[in-house]
Amino acid sequence: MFTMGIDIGSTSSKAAIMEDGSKIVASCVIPFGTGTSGPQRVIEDVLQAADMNRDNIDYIVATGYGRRSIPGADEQISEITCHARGVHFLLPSTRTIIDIGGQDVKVIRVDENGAVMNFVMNEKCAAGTGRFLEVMARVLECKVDELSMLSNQAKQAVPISSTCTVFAESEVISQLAAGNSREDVVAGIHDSVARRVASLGKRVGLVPDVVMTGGVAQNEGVVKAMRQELKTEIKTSPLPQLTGAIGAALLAYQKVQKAKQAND
Amino acid sequence: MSKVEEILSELGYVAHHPARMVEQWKKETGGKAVGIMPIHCAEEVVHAAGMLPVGMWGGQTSISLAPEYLQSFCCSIMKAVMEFTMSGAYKNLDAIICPETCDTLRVIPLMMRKAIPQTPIIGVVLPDNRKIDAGIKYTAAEYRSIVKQLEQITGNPVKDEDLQNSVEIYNEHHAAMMEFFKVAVDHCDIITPYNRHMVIKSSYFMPKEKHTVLVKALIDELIKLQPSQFKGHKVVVTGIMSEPDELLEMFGKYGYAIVADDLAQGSRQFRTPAPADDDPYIRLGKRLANFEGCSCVYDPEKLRGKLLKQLVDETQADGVVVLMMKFCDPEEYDYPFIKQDLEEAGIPHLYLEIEQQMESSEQVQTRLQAFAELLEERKN
Repeated sequence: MFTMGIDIGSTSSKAAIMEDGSKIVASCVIPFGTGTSGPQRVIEDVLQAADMNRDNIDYIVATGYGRRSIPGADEQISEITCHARGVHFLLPSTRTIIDIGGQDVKVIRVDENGAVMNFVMNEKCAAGTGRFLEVMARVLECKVDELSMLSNQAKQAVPISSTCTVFAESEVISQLAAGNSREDVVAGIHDSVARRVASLGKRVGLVPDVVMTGGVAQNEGVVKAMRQELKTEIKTSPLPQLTGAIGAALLAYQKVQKAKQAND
Repeated sequence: MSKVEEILSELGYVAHHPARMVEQWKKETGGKAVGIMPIHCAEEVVHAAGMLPVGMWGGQTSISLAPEYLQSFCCSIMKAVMEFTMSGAYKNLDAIICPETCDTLRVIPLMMRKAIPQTPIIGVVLPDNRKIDAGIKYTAAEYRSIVKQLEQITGNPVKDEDLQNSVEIYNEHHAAMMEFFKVAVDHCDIITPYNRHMVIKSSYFMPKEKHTVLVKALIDELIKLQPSQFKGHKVVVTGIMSEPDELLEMFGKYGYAIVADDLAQGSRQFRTPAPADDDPYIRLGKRLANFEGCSCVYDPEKLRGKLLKQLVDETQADGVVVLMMKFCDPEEYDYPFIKQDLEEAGIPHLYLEIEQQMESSEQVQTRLQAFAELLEERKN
């Protein structure tokens, strides 16, 4: 049986096709999120990668910010539940998930079965999110994926506000004008993200293993800053952007199984 | 339309048309109307003066005038109140009573006096030491002072027996509301979160005697029906209020039923009766003394979490939703205690930050959906 999980975020679209809830057959990430061509493209691309068409898929679960606008999805489930299930599949010893996406941050506590025990999310403010890093990268005239490399070369992190993206942007400009190096400013930005996310994490309680997911988990500079801020080991998901889609595909499989059991 | 639907429709109309209700009441009775700001000012004093007490709990409006007085970090209820004040929405109110409930409400009377100088603004300070004898007498004295000012507006004296009568009417109304909440638990399919709120909210815009009649009729009709087999998620909500309507519709959409509340606009108004006493003002003082579990009433024992646990046990609720009004300091201060009590009791809870003017509901939807999934998972 084949199931598909589609995770439509604010800045990217992800999809995974799984066989019998145990094997990832194909996966795909498109760097365009809800409201763009990304959702449609990610579905087409993942089906193509698996050499399948829609009729081969038994059940589709959509998740993420744009989950309600996916035509053809059989069901939509919140990204909290999907991330929990996806991370549990990839790293079963996970008890705390820190997911930093394009415009929100979630900290999720899960049990030994991957079920959600508790969660917190950031409020409307974009501080600490992928969007925050994008804004900073623009000011620093670099790409988001260069931030990690830059912070690695820092000598002394420059403190940056952790409360507001707009204030932090002004601060970054001031710090650069004051002669601080880009590398030191980037390290300060990563510390800022870590402080912001850590405060959320402490609200649910961080129980090891702590695993980071989401696009920002690919930034080793932020992961390192998180380790220092939380004084705990932090693992990263082997497929950080795909955990939501994988979780959705797993839950899709579970739904079909349950329906079958009910019919039998 | 069934009788239940008729009553709910009537109450819904009242809840959504406060200005029309005030206008209609004034036309019918020739009386005056007095606005009462949240949270714990006894409406009975206004009722005893022959005036219509009108709850002033903000509302859904776009904010453009209020920032002249209120900073962006003030709660959305007070912003809406100031917006309505400045836009002339309260022009039919003959006076406004402002209790010093929180830091923002402390300065609202001053702003109102400047914004609408023609309307008498009556300040009231309720005591922290509400339980001791001196505190009870102080509360009584504050209410006497309000009554004196109302007498000047109406030109009619308020006798003690008038207030005794009003206290009895309110006790009866509050008991009916508490009975309604109990009966509603068996009819979650009809008494949706939205309908439940309409029953509460309408009580602020019509004479309590009339509201009591409608609530009792609603109870009678509900009792006649078979209890519903509700398959969704039963929750207790706590906070200042459960607005806007969009939020309550989301509760319904994700399969929630509110089986009990600890809302300042809801049960906190109704759950503590005024005890007997020869002095009606002392009755109101004693009611405040006996009251428990509100962030805006001094409680060194922090009983609110225990009260929530009790509500969960009584209603067999699946969890608690903390409706945190953004920028409400008193509620924020209470939250760590509630969280600890609920976690110790193993009761799942959702912290949901809300505003009366919600520009974007996506994050709230995700949280409500995820919490519903969490509760479902616990059942399996």
